[in-house]
Amino acid sequence: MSETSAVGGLTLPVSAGAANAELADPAVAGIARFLAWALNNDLSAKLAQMAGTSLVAVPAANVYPWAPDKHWQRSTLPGLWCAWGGKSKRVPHTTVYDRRERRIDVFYAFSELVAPNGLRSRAGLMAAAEASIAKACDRGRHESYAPTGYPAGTPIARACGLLQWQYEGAEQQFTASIPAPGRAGTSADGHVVRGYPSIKASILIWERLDGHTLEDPTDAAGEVLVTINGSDGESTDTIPILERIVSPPDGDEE
Amino acid sequence: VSFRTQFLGPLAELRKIAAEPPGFDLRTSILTIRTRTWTGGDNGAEVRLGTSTDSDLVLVPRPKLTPIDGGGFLVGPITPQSATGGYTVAQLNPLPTLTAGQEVLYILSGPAGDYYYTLVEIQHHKAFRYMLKLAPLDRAVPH
Repeated sequence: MSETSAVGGLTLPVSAGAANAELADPAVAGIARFLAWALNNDLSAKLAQMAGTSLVAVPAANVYPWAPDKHWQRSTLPGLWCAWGGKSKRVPHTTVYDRRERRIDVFYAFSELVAPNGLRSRAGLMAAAEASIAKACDRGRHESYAPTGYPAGTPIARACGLLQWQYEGAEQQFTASIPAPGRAGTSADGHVVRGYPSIKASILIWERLDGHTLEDPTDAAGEVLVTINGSDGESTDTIPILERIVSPPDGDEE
Repeated sequence: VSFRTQFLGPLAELRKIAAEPPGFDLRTSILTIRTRTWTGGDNGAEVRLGTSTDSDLVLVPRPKLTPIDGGGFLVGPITPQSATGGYTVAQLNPLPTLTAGQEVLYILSGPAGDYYYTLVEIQHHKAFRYMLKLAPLDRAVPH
């Protein structure tokens, strides 16, 4: 057996890879790419007809696999942030292996809007974005979306090494508004306010804690001859009444 | 004609000498009050929807800037309007007269470039000066 094994989509030890190549969280990266694709697939045709702000839901360069924290305003918007949030949990899953549960925090922020005179036409934008994320998580795949390294239509759970992923819900905010209470020595009440429509969502993922990796030839399963013998019950003599060969797995099992 | 209105003209000249070349040139930032008008959509004119055109008012002389908490500036003194110059409150704060598809931006152009601000307060109770309190719109700080 080898000590090499996987936790979710991450094989440990992590391979060296190319110089300066990123060390990605496969679950976060895979979910972020899929959600960005889903938002663009569902919303960008409409946004392209609404000049004045971004014409696409998530520009390709604006998918950020880290927590937005308090520095997200420095990144180009609109943007989609995905990051592991909170504390992970080990949960017994089967008699053979356990699973790790993690919460993935999703933050989507659109271009700056001006309240109240710039809200009407995009009032439903965040509801549509949340619906897009909810649908993407519920389906778990799209026939036109090819996860990195997999053909189109591959379930995201399979591509990311997840046992399961569940959408938990979202809330919307008009965030980073200016003027804000206390800023520049004033209350924000009654002012024209500039801010970013945004949603915060969370997704629960299950990742398998794999056991040791079996090696060939020491751990390889081979053919097994199974024989059932019978006797008359009086003597110790037996005669074979059934012989069968049990074949090893060929790798195609589901 | 009152003493106050007679004095506003020379006061504006004195402030210009202090602010700009060929005078003392003590003010290095230009304030532009930009009224941006959007074409809007099927609900009528709306800010940040459609295409926009700008109408600029560049304040002369360059105003004094005083940093305030929160990253903004107290701008002024700005001389009230008289026969020889200055500005009205309505010019400095176009907000009350805006139509649905218009927004106002305050742009300070100085050594670090152009930065956008919003008006959070206008002080117009003094006889010889108006003051503007501006908050920065750029969230990436410092700049």
